[in-house]
Amino acid sequence: MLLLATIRLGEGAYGVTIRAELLRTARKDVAVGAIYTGLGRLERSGLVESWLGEPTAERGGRAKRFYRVTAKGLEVLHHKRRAMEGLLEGLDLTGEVAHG
Amino acid sequence: MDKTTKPPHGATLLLNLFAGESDFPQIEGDLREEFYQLASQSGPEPARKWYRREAWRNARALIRRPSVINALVGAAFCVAVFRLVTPLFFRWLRFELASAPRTPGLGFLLITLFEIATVLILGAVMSRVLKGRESLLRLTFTLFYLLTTAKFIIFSRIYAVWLSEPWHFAAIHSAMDQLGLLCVVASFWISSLKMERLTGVAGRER
Repeated sequence: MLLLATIRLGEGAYGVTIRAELLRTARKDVAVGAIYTGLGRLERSGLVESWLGEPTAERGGRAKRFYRVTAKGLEVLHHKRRAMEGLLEGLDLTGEVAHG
Repeated sequence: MDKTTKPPHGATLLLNLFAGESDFPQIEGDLREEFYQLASQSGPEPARKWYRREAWRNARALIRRPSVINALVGAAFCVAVFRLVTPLFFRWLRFELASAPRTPGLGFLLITLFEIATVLILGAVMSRVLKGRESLLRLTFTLFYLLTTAKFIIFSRIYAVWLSEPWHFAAIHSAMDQLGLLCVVASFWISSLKMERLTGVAGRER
């Protein structure tokens, strides 16, 4: 989800915007600390890269850290998407939900 | 928006426990940015309420990180070593002093000095090992130490001894116990703060 939200935001992906995007599109209210924990893990795996912006007064002099998905991250997403589509193929989820 | 509007002090202090985390400036900056946005839209009070809630949520998220868990384990280790070593020294000292001429207060003084020396070493070593997480280490050490002391007071029924004594003896004994407790906690804080300053200065000089 973090990877997808980061792609959706393009060059403007940082903690606040990623949090807002997750809330808006996935209805997930995630603490910003948890977002950075996940992004840190993705960065160590080489799936995202980050750079620091300029510090601003409204952030108490703290700089923004922007994120972007790397080529490896995109490849992993494609692979996961194919796997998901393969698993979903032939399934009637509406029926499964009705059974559940 | 009022320029003097600031995030609640208590919530900021709670977040500052995690100041050693490498992404702490970003977390704090993001929270402040959202706080000021909310304050300009809905007013300072809803923004402060939101900040308090987010500080707790972030503390819960950050406490699961391995680096933070290491600090908690480090504090628990210090308390465990202290609780293990002190009774051994006490037993040895009682054996040694049994044959010596009785000097009132000598045993208490030696035990207190030993306790202070032990926590000074533990505080310095652990603060060096857990560089960047010293404030969390100090706070959790204090908490664990007070909890183990409370457990000791309840399970050893020492309070019954205090209650059975005439009030002035009870007051003296409880004051001495509290003085010992204060010495242990204060020594840990002093050595940890000193080591934090030393490693901070060394880091800046490099």
